[in-house]
Amino acid sequence: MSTNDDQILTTLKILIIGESGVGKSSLLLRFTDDRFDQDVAATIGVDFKVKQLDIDGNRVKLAIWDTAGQERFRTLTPGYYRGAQGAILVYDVCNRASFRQLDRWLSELDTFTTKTNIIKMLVGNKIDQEESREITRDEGARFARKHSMLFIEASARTREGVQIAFEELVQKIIQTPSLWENQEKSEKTIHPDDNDHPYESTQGCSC
Amino acid sequence: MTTVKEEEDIFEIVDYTTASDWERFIARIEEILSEWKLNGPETSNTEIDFADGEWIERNESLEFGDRSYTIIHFSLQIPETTSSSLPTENNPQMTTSSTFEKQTFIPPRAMADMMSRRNDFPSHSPFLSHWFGLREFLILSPKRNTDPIIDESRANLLLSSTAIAVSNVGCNVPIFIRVQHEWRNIFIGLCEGSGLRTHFNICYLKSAPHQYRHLAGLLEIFKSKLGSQISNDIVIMVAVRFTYVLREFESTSSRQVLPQDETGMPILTNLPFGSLYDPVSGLHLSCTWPIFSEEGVTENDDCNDFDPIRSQQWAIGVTLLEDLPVLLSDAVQKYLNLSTKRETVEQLLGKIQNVDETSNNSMNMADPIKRISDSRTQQYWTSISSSISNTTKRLRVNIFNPPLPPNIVEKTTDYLFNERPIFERRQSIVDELPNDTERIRQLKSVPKDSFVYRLVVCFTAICSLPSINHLRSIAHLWFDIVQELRTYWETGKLIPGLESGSPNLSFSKFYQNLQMLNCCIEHRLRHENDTINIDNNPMEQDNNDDDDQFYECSSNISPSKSNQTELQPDGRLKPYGDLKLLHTNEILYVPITQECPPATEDMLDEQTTVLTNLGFGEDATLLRAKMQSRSLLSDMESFKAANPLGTIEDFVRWYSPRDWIETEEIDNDGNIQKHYSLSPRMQLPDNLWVEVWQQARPIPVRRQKRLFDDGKEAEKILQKFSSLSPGEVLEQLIPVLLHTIYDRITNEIEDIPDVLGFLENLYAKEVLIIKGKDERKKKLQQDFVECLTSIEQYICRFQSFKQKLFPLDLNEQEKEEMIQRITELHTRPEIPVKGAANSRLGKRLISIFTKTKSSTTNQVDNGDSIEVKNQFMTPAGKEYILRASIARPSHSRSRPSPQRMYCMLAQDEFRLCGAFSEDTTFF
Repeated sequence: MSTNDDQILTTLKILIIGESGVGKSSLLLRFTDDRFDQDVAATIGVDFKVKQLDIDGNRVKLAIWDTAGQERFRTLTPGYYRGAQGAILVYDVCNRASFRQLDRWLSELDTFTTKTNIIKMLVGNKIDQEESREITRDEGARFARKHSMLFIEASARTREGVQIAFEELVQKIIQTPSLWENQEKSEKTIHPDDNDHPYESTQGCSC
Repeated sequence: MTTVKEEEDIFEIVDYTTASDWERFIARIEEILSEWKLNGPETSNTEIDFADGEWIERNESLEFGDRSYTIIHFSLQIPETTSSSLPTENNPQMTTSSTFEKQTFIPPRAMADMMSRRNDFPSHSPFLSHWFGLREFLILSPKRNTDPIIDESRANLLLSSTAIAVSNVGCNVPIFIRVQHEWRNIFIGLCEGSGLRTHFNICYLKSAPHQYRHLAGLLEIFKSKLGSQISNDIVIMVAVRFTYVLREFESTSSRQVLPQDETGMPILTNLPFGSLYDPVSGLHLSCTWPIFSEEGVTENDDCNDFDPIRSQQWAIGVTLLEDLPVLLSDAVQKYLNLSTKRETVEQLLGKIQNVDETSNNSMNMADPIKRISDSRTQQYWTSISSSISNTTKRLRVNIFNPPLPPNIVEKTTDYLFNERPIFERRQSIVDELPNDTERIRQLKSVPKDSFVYRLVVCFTAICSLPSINHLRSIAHLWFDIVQELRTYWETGKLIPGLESGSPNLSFSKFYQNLQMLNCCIEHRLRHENDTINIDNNPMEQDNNDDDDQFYECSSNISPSKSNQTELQPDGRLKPYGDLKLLHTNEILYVPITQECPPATEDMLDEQTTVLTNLGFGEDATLLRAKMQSRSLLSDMESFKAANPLGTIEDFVRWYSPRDWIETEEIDNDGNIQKHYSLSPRMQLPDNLWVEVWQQARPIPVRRQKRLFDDGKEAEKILQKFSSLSPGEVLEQLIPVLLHTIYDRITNEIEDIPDVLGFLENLYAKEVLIIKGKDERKKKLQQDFVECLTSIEQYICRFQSFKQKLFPLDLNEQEKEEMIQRITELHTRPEIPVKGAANSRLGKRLISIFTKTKSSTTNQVDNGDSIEVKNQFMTPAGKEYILRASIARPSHSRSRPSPQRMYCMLAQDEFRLCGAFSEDTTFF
């Protein structure tokens, strides 16, 4: 545990999901390390990064779970959706297929998340490649409105919209206390660092 | 005696230094009365219904010499809205009080109340209010019970002292002195105001003299009290109430009996509910004759005009059994208590022997003492069961002194393992019953009537059984169930009452483990066929000797064999569209792949912990990817087997199409040239995908190592189950318990009003238990059980009232009325019976109150049935109020003032409460 743990309001779990190659890992890398790597490898299974964020004077710890987008991983990754308070659905504005698949990702999210009022954000990535854009901003916005999601367009390459996307999402979660209050007990095992509670002991009290 | 105003000298000094105890006592009373603002006429004189109000009390202490007293002020607080709106027309007794009020002066409110017929026989007022019709009064009583006011002079001194105080401050509220021992409830008192004074006196005897047991005798007493002043034109008004009490009910059908089968054995397949006792311990009916003049009716030794059936005012009330014991709540309380216990199955049941052993150990069996001492040193049964885990027949066991009869255990396990259609996945349930599903999700319970749901029902039912050791019985049942589960695994039979497919993470972990066990069973069944096929293939007979954790498959294929495989494609599922391999133009085949291993929440937690413990850096990311690349490797190997000439490019085209980049170029001739290449990220030299590809050998799926090791997972779960203490099992199933309770209450509550309030409250408390912090758990559980108890009691009472007082064939409107009546019975000591004997309820009551009579009469004297038929039982209590407005003490000069006597005749109580007034101005 880090030393300033007592100042942390809560730890939030956030998912990044979407088709393969839409830039999920790049968005995350931009947000956590503020860098862009053309050659970030295709994710296998799930990965995650941790970052602290100050929202309205509250320090919040984020555990952001990055997932593989390939079809074959889709049976593996949803196991890690449990307990997430927020989800970022990413599509590639230059690729219509990745936009079309959003419905499927949404229903998967609904099926496997344990919290009913999880906050969802739609991110249209790669807006730096304006010349090959296939999805207009308006289309994205309409989809988000239809499904009650936050919406933003971003570019992991130029960093446009990335920071604000995460901040907005976290703010919205913080404004929904039922999502994160009282989670200490039941969600213990999904947070990084909580390895002082081996699985046998948690099994007894939180099933 | 020194008077207070003795020194009216020049210095205007008043000397109180010599004031006596008596003076101080009076001053103190005055002080208290002023403090309570009782020093003046009452603010409101409107008539009110006592039943609408709430009695409030306040008290002060005071001294008289070395004796301590308490003065208590009782007053009825009426909510503003109801006090004035009530109709007064239907009350004929109003006439007297209003004529009384028409006099030229206004008497104190207490005197008006005494004469008002509106509140005769109020049902939940303090004694003095009941006896005298008062809405406000004061009681002065000794502070200690050991110091009762027994001698008359002390009583009179106190009364005259208070009289002085009361008139000094102008208090119109009646004040009483408690005399004699407390249990006698005897008071003397007075009320002053408007130049009138009323004296209150009470006479109490254990039994009434014979001549005073009826109205005629009581009228005689009343008249004699008023003495010579009574003239012939004075009419004495009478009100009468008879009360009939039923203590025992003939019908006991509202009593619940614990469910039993035809042989008298308890049935454990239903949650208990209700009470073994009748929640209603008594029922009383009061018949009132509100107003008539003394000439109108006769009741004397020979003649009785008071026929309850002719009374127009009926009211009933119930006596409820206090702290009614209720089955479900008690069982739940026991369940929760047991869930904190940690004795192991072995500790509870003693050493458990399987039958094979018993032949060798027959000596031990014959010598129980030795056996008991053995059990202490023997290894736990869990190790026994694992050592014989490969036997396919069910383990036969002997439990020393089994707590439950074997046939009950057998029946219960039959119920649990009863074949049922496989449950549908959750999606379909969501559509049908969204609320139910949301509740299950919130509680993290299990689907209704699933295996685990039934299990909890059985455990709770055990907790309701009388005179058995509950924890041992649960251990016994649990032991048998684990044995049965093992048998199911070993014989390849699916456990009934579970959703098919991989564990549903929105349900209880306990349930997930059972689902997982089913996955293992299913997986084993499916792949046993594969193994048989492989066994037929002589080529595969190599090394499956070592690691039996893995499937019978070869992981070390020699190079020579792999050459063969390259030539012979294997494990093809279907062509992938019309794609061709890049280099050979052969059809690209989708391989048969291994399914993703199912996982329970526990397993995912474990995996998550492993992944998160790796840290946050890039190295950690790589390590995580490597750890998760097993399924990628398996897929690549399957792909290579199905497409021996395929390359990584081909693989990516199937597996991750978006990493196969198509670019268009226009060549020199103006033709569009399409170029294909792997995406930059796939071309990275140290890319894990390429690494794994290079590692992968062409192995079709059925010869691969299994990603899912059913044997290991099943054994893990069975071990976990058998190592759980019964208390831990109960604790883990608490969410399901809460769910079953909710369902049971929902079932029972049916047409009972305030349904939502009950259920919502109950559910809110359930969620609190689930979400609450561990250290508060106990308190929350206690709170929940209390809530549950009161709901269960309420339902019991409701059902008992309904069954006793109302017929079954009610129409909608009657039903509504019934519900209202029953609700009132809960909250009010008495409710009126509209239409009295002529109403439906009235007829029912007649039958209740006469049936008992006729049956007893028949036993006694076999009397003629015609007369008995309509005869009520004898009243348990008779009350009379006699009233007159008479000028006293002087018939000619004094103003008429209220005279009243209340009489009560009960089996062991004869009480006369007189309030006689006189004019203190004109006499």
